Amino acid sequence: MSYLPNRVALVVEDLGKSFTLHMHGGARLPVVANVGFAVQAGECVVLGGPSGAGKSSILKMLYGNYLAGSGHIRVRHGADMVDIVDAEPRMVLDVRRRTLGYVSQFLRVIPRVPAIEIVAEPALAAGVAHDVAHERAAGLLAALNLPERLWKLPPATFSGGEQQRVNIARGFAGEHTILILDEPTASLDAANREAVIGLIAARKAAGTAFVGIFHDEDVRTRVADRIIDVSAFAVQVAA
Amino acid sequence: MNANTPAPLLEARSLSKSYGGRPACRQVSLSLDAGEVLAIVGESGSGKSTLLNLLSGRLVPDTGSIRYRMRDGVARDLARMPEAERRLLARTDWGFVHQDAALGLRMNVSAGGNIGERLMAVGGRHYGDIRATAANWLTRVEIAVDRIDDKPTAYSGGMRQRLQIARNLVTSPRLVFMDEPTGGLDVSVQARLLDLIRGLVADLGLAVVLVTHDLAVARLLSHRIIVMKEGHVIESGLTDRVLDDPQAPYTQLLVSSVLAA
Repeated sequence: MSYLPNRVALVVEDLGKSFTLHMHGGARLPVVANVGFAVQAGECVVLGGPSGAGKSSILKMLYGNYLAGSGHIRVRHGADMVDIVDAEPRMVLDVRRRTLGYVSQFLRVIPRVPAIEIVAEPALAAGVAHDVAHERAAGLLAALNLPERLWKLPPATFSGGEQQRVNIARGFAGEHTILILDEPTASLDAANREAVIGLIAARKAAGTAFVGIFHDEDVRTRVADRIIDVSAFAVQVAA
Repeated sequence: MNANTPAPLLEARSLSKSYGGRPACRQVSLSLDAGEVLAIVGESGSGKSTLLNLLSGRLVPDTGSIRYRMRDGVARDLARMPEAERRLLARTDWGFVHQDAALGLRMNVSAGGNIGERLMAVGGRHYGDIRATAANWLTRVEIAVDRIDDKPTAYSGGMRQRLQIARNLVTSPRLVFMDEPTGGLDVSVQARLLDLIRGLVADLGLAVVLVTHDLAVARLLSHRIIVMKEGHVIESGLTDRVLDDPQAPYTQLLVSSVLAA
């Protein structure tokens, strides 16, 4: 493997993806090809480009949620570089526990589990002590202006914006060294967008590498160190 | 796998089983680590229950082998284990949660007795201790302690299922087999039970082999998934990967057939 400086957190090489829709006569839906970029510790790389260019699919491949068709996704995991593309499921789970976090657009609500537990869970999974994990969760929920009376309630009945703040707090609670953000600020008001920008800045200063999608122009320019136009990775269809 | 990786808790190689010439399970291999939750999904007749019964020693495979890593760290071939030892294993280090709680409980014995019986299998003799432990476990599965002397026949379906879980977990097993544990229950009862199972599995670090036809249950509880059809493993992998980006035609059909609520 080529030499990688210590600051490199994530390297994507020749990544490609297409969907084969077996329910629709095996139609092939090309998504991206030859995706390549690297992200340093403390850097925030934003994926840009029009809707349908494959931004979300790239993020899902980075997390191991979508299967890459080709290429490599090398992630600095402790002392090792792990290739998410061909790692065993158990290794991917370990990478997710200790290294790689993901904030989706929507909270996947678990019935009956209180907001504070949902937020503390990734920290507990990463081996953080119960009290510390709960302090961290409380700090994040407070930073995101979620009223304290809601913390002990399950988020099923929360508004969209409140659920999304729980989701963001959960994503940050693991204090992963690499964090993937898929439009985390889409359903937030100005004050809470500001809070998220603050959280990102603080984690960047602590060395977390970010890869994200932000449609909000203002948020994007304020958090991004670099913007990569994903349409450059469009699949070339033969004429 | 490097030398530092502990051996799997359970390892099956090329398991096959036929009923009267009709194959129900064909050349299935899998392994399970300590603390890992594996879901086996598929439709009725896919062979998932046969596989569960093979893995748990309730059925004898026609071919193939199953090894289990005992508490002393030594992996043993289940087929070569004396019957008495295998039964002790099933009563202590393993659990089996049936869809129908009546199969996993003694319906004419009190709730406390149902839990206490498993404890006595591991040498519990002191009545007061056994009763206290049973009461503690009833609380953990959210059954009021004043119901300890009631028989399961007086319990609702959800309570019976929670009691069955307590009976299984009281001996601190490392591996629990579950056959559609939430099947046949009302949706609200299901949600409560799922949450309870999720919490207990995480707190106790249990390894679980879970058979379900409900992909939402598999998503909520499992780390990895195996998709079965006609006795074959069609696809396997990380649970969210298999459900969100299914590769095999059959898995795509299965995932796309679920009605989103």
